[in-house]
Amino acid sequence: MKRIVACFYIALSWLFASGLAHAADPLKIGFVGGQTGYMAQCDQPNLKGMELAVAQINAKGGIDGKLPIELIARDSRSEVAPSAVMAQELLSEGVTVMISPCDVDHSVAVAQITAAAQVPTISSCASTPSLASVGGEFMFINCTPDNLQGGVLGKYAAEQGYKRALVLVSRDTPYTYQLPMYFADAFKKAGGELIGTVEYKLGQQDFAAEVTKIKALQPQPDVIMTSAYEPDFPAFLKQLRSAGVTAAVLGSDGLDSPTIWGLGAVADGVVFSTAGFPVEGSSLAQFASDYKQHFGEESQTSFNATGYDIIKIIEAAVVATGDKTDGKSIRDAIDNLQDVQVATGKITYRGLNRIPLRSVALNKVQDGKKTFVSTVTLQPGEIPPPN
Amino acid sequence: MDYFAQQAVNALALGGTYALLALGLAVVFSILGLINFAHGELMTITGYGLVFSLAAGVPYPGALICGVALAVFCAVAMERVAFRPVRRASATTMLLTSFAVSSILHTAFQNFISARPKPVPVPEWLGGAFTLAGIQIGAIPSLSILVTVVALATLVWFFQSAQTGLAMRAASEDFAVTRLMGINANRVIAASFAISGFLAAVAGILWLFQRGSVDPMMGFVPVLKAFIAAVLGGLGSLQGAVLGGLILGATEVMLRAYLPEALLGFRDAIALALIIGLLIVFPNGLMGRPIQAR
Amino acid sequence: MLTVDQLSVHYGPVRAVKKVSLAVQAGEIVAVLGANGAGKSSILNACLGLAPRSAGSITLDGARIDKLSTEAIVRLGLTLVPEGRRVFSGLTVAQNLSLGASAIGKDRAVALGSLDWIFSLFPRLAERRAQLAGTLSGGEQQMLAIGRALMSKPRLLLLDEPSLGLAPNIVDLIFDLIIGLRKEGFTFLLVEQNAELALDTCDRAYLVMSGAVAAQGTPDLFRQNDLVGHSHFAASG
Repeated sequence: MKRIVACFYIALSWLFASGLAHAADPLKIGFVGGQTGYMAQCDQPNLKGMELAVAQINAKGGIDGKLPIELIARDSRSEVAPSAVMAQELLSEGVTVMISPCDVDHSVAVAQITAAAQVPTISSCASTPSLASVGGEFMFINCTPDNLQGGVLGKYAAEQGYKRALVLVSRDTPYTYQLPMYFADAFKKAGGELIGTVEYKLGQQDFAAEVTKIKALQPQPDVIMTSAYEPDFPAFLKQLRSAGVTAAVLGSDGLDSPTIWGLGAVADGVVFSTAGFPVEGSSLAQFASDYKQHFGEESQTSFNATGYDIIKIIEAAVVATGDKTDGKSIRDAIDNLQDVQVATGKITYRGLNRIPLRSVALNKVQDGKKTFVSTVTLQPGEIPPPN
Repeated sequence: MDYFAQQAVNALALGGTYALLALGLAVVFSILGLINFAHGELMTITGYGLVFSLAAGVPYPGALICGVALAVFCAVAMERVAFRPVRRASATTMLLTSFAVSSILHTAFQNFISARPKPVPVPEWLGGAFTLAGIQIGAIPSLSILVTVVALATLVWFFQSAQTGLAMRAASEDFAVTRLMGINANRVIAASFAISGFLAAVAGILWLFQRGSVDPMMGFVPVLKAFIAAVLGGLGSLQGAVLGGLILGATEVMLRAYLPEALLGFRDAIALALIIGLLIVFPNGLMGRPIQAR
Repeated sequence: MLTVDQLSVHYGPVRAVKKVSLAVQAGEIVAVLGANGAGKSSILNACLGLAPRSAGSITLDGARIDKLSTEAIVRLGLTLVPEGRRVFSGLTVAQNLSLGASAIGKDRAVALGSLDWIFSLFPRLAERRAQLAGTLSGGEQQMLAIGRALMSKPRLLLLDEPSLGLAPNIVDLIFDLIIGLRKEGFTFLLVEQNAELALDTCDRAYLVMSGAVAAQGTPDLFRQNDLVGHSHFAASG
């Protein structure tokens, strides 16, 4: 008797579920991000970008005009354990695609759960290339990977005629350590020399000892490269300049914030890389105006645009599958994407082991403004291999 | 030699800032037996006070005063709202309360102000430097040293001569007997929070001048350093807090300056090991009294 | 002047004082006698709001004071010299005394007048005014503790074991002072283990045993009935 009841129940629930599916069941996308805690400064703007993309797509009736998106966001509190818990929670809510936190470790925690469930997962802004292999077959990177960014900056530095470089690194995160190392690789390959590595701690603030050390170097470096971001970068830069060190300073996409070009004269001439630059008529300029219209405020950081990109990648993948919305099909579709137009530019995953190829924009701070230098697309041979 | 002298100035500037922060923790601890981990948030509040009053058109010196006043006000309010109800509870309860206050403030800053840093305009002249006896000294380190000296001198005067200062020292020795003098306990405690808020604000401004922005997490690292400095100096000892701050600053700077590159990654571990070594020799901190049951 | 009615004090589950009633009239010296741990100090502490009162009432000049804060009670003219002196050892003699004047407000002239008065009562303190209180001898610390309490010109002074651990000549000096001050209109309630000394000084006495009043009356009554014989004080050593 029990068995018959069970069978009946299963049959009923199957009927019920398939019945619902016909009435335009939305594509559920989960986002586990640090809405509070130290990652909030990246994952809060990421979420806003995603919301804008979802709103735009749903306004047209959904993906391909028929499949609306439901975005479900959960706060990881910028901690590893809650990230895993929230991922589990979202899986039981039936998400088809997962977006994981900005930090590598947190993304790995999420990937351990989503990989088992075969749910494709895209990190909001983790950029360590090894994430794609550590996280497994279903883990994708979205932001410009560190080796690509380091490669672009190394090539640029050599092209400027700089001979001697110094890197400021922190072992606290892969981003702040490996990206400058990729820069050094590319710079050396282009004929430059690395004359020093200076270490700092995240949140250190006081760079007097390091700056004194740099000042004492003979000969002085032509260029100093770092992927430090706020609050370390402004503190370092101010102390460097006030000590009279005049070397050029290069940075990475962590500097893409009005608080950097708002630093005043001290930031003049700093060059940094980003995923794109909103030149007139570009997709990023379009995004910026859409963003302003939707939220009633200016987009303050490129994390808005990169968050937006993720939804566009998912959209493109679902379109490519035809009508399939299972995890495996979407995963394979993302893995095959080529030259997809997103807010920051074009993105390719095909043949790259889930590490995207993007164009990289170089920006220069001038008179308190971010100005456009160039857009660089590296050939695969020019990108330092991930380690 | 020049290199050493230069690093010594750096050590003094950083140590002075740590000393101010540690002193802020110690002033409250000496009276209440509470480590206020929300102390760092008072620095952040100073930053937001400065940013928003500048945005409202207040001239720079006025905005600085607004920032300091806001931190003092919030420190006193913190005591009134969060700590007074648990004053008779165990030290653990008070400690957890301070963690709670700290994380509530973090979240409030993130959700009601911004998770992104807000730029703090810093006067141009603070980017400069001058040369003294062959050593180049930046304007910010000089300011840090100067402000620290002035703040410490003012506090020495306050605790030696002002009646409220005496009452606070008395309360840190024997709270019950201080009340027997007819001294209002709430007022003494509020005064200790006000002073700690003031010290956090001063240290916060020096910190802000260096970093040029304020964000919700700004107070996190400094309060940890201040805690280490206060423990090193001897919890509850005001002179100890200053000494602990200076030693911590000097240790950090000198390790950063002289450790070989291969060991730089371990410098925090080495610094903390040195401090643990000192604490083994001085279990109550350098100037601490033996811990008694309160 | 001071009336304690049915006072009980609990420290957690332990009841230290059980329904004690006592009264002090203006101008009296009243002693509370009893063995170590009998609850004498708890009674005094409860009067100042320093021990947890679980039942009963305390009135000063007819007004309830048992819900007031310690500092408010002190400002009404009642104060306590605690057991073990408890001077502020890190402050100088003069600083200790100046804190004692906190209850009488900010009037500097009044405070200075009090200071002169204390120095006339205890010339030794005047000599050591700039010295840290922690460096004083036990007798000097007791003088300082009493002087500090007198700075606020209290009408009623509670003294907890003023003779404890002091040399005989200092004890004499302090009890002579108590008698002298009573003539000037001060009222005293003192807790003493040295029953002989207390009975020589006081007008009336209470005997407290195990937290409750066991006997009360004049010193003569106590002596006639041998109420403070050796048996009650075995614990005091």
